[in-house]
Amino acid sequence: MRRLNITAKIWLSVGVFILGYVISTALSQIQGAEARASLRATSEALFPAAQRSQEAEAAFQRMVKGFGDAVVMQDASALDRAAEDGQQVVAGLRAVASIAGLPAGRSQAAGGLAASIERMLADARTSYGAVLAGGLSGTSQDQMRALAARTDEAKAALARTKEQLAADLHLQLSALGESSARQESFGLAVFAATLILAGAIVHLTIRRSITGPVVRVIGGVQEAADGAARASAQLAQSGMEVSNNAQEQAACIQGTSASLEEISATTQQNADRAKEADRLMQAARQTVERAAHAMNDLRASMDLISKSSHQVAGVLKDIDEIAFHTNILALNAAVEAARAGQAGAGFSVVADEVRSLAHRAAEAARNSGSIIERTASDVSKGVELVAHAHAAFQEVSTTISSGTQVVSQIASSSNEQAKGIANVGQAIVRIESLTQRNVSNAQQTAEGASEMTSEVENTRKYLDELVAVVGLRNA
Amino acid sequence: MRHLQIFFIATVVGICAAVTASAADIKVIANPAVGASSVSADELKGVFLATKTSLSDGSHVEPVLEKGGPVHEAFVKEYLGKTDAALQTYYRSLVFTGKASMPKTLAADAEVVAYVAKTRGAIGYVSAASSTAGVKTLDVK
Repeated sequence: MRRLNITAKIWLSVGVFILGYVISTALSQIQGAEARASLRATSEALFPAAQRSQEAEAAFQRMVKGFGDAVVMQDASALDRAAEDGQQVVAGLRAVASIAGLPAGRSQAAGGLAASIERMLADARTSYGAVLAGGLSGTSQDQMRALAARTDEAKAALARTKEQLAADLHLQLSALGESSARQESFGLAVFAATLILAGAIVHLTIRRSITGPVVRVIGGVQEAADGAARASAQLAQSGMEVSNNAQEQAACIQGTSASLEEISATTQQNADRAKEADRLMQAARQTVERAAHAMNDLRASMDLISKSSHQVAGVLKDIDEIAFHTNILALNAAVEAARAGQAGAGFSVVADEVRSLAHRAAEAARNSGSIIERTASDVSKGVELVAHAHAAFQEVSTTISSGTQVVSQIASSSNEQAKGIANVGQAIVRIESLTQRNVSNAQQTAEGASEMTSEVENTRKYLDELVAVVGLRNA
Repeated sequence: MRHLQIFFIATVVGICAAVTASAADIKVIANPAVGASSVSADELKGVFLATKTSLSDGSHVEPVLEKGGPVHEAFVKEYLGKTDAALQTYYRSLVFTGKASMPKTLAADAEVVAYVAKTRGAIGYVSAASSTAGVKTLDVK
């Protein structure tokens, strides 16, 4: 059943319907033939038998009435009429007995009754004739009583026969009617069963193969439409957000690009300045090296000055010794002048003067010596300071070398940085164009999403129509 | 003129009274074995139309009729509501249908009295003037 397709199922239900119709028609034909046979038997046997027995009963009643009239009214002509009616009764009963197709008991009963009534008729005619001729004697009264009893019996038997035949007829007709009703209800039942079966198959087919799948499909499509609607709404929102973000991003990227250009210019300037600083540092190093040479020269000069000062101290010692010897000579001269008396007086003055000069020379020599000593110590200090300055210049030179190296590194880094920034700028330009494309793509996505939303709405309308067609109540 | 009319009517009534008997001139008699001393008009009618064979007290009765005569005519008319011919027809129909026999019919009051006196359960009627020796007279109510 499940493997059949819808067309086959529908044809199957139609086939079941046709089969049921054919079966019910065939059965009704068969039963109709049986009913016709039964009806023929009824119309050819039971119905005439019932009719004849009824006529016989009527004739019997006429006969009884005729005999009664003859006896009661003393009417002899009534006797003959009654006898004729009696003959009709007998003839009618014999006719009933001779009908073929009656139950044997009924035929025998009718035949027996005919014979009995025939005998009774003969007796009645004799007895009632005697009564009419001779009046009511005791014997005739007894005969009449006996006849009355026989009449009652015959009447009862006749009535019974008639009732039985009528009952047979009624029974047969009832059986026919019942059979017909049974046939009718059987046909109706077959038709109803067929109708129900075909209807059930059609219903199940429609439900399982059409409505069910359609309902499932509708449910699935509805869920899908809901999902698509949600997704498209989300998509539209996301698209809008992406578009907005991308626009903002584009603005940021433009700002970044401008900043990068500034940074690039600044970096370039930095590189230039670093080169300039490198150059200046090279110059400073050369200057410091020259200053270091000058300091070396200065130290050498200072050493020479120190030596000269020592040489001056030796000269001064010589001068002091000269002054000392001069003083001694002056003293000797004074002594000689004193001895030489007045002739030596002038000389003594000169000797004094020479001694004073010797004193002054010794004093000047002592003063110069201390000055020379102070000078020598100052020169020593200066040499020491020059050495310090030289060391400091050496350190400065070393530091400048390091600084030069660092500045060179800075310059090369700045160059690298400038190159990198240029690359970044190119990338940013690329990113900007991509962002612009993203913006347009996001806008297209948002538009597509809203279009999709309206398509989903259309889908839902069609689904509602489909639901109405299928006859579901959409929850 | 009015007196003449009254006289004429009175004369006719008188003649009629002379030739026909009335209920007052009839007495119903029964065999002394019958227990009841009175009988109702309906019972009497039933007994003589052969629809009853016993009285209300249970005693069996059998009607005895007179063969013609003013007393019979008066009884049949007064108590049975029929003419004699109709009564005969009625009895013949009873006999024909086997329901009853023809009742005992006697010629004169004296015969009736004698028959009733000797027949157990017999019930009959005679003129009021008749002797009722050996029978009992029933009151008809």
